[in-house]
Amino acid sequence: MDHTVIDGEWHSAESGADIREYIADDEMRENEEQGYLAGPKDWGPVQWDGWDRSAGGRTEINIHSPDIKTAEDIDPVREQLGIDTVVFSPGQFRMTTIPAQDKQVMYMRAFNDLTVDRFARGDGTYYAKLYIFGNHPEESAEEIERYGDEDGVVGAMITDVGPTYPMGHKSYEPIYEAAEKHDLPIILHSTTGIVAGFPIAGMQSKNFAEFHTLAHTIPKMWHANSLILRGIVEQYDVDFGFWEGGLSWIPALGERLDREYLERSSEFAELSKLPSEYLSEFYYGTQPLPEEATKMVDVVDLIERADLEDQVIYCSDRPHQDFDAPAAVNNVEGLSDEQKQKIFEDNARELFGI
Amino acid sequence: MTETSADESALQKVATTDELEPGSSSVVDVDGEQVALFNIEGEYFALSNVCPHQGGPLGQGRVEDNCVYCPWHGWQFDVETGEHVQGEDAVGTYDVVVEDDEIHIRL
Ligand code: FES
Repeated sequence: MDHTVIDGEWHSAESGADIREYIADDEMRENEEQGYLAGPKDWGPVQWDGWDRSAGGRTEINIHSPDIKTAEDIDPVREQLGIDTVVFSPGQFRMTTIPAQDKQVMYMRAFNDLTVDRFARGDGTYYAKLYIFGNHPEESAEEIERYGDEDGVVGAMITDVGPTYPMGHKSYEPIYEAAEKHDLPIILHSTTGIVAGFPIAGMQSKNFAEFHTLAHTIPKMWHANSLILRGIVEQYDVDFGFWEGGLSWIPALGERLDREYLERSSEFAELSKLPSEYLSEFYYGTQPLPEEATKMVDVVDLIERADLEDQVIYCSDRPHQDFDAPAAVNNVEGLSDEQKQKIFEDNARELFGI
Repeated sequence: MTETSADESALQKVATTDELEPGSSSVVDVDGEQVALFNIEGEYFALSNVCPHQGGPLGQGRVEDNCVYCPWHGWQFDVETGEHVQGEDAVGTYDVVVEDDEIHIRL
């Protein structure tokens, strides 16, 4: 059966220069336009990470597709892939690599202005998430206040790699208050940029494969662990979405959390159920689904055992090199038509309110 | 792979040799099927254009050492057997027959 397909993540693809155009202060904008003599002009203060994601040019999907300037630029590829509705994620999420800490907030604001101007249409086809910064929680909360009720803004995305603290830390509370007030889900998304923080610093990977295998999943466990153990899940009525880390880490974390909880619950915040049961209330993007060849993972069984039928949302992750076409969901053997309907459409409508 | 003997009834002309220079590829529509054609150093190969992984366009892939790399996720297929070199999937192949300057595939 054909399903309506809502894609929980297609990345916009702006350069540092595109974002710079939205810096509100004229003098700062001019400074930024003229200030980066030694680096690629397009990148400005955002650092290019030097990874070859194309295996020596053998794949052609380019994460910084400069032709995606506005939502409608993806019409042809979206239609070709059979996707009806897209919830954009910020493309230039390696903003956390901006070395000047006193410019990060200025760029975050400019970035959200760009997103609202070019991508958050709210027209039934295109929606978008704001960009928020873990290390600037007050200012991130202000961004949610500023745009949280805008038509077409349906979430806030945080780069989960590189913030100083895991997301159960009290410093994040302004973000959760604002998200709760505006009923915006918070989507955790990693970066494979070179970020001077956990878990990138210290990984010492020999190549992109060694790096990328872990770079998305480890921070998911770091934050989910913290959100549950420190009781954010009880304190705030906020939906959390874990994008791009796959699904198989969920039972691994649940197993460890429950074990610790049963042995030392006094070190946990006041919880009303087993820690693993909170994992069944978070949302998860499908991308990347396991390959059929990975026989040790049974997605259908995982969805049933972890009670994730209403929590999993199809995400393409275009235009990134490891994107999943809707075929990736259809290829999962044993998913019922009803489960596919939820993954492709119903769960996204519920989470994003579209 | 290129054949010389032909069972005429099952052959379908898909291109002429001057349309497919050595080192080039193209995609043709044969009765609604997308077929990727490759000329590798004068030898012709035909595969389904639809990658068995998620449907990527194999005819646009880079060719190296008698393999084509899917431009979407880089899966590597042997152009002669259609086998995925690292896995168990395979893409359908077609026998190719060249007569005079016409390239045919056997359906
Ligand atoms: S679609 Fe061909 S490798 Fe994924």
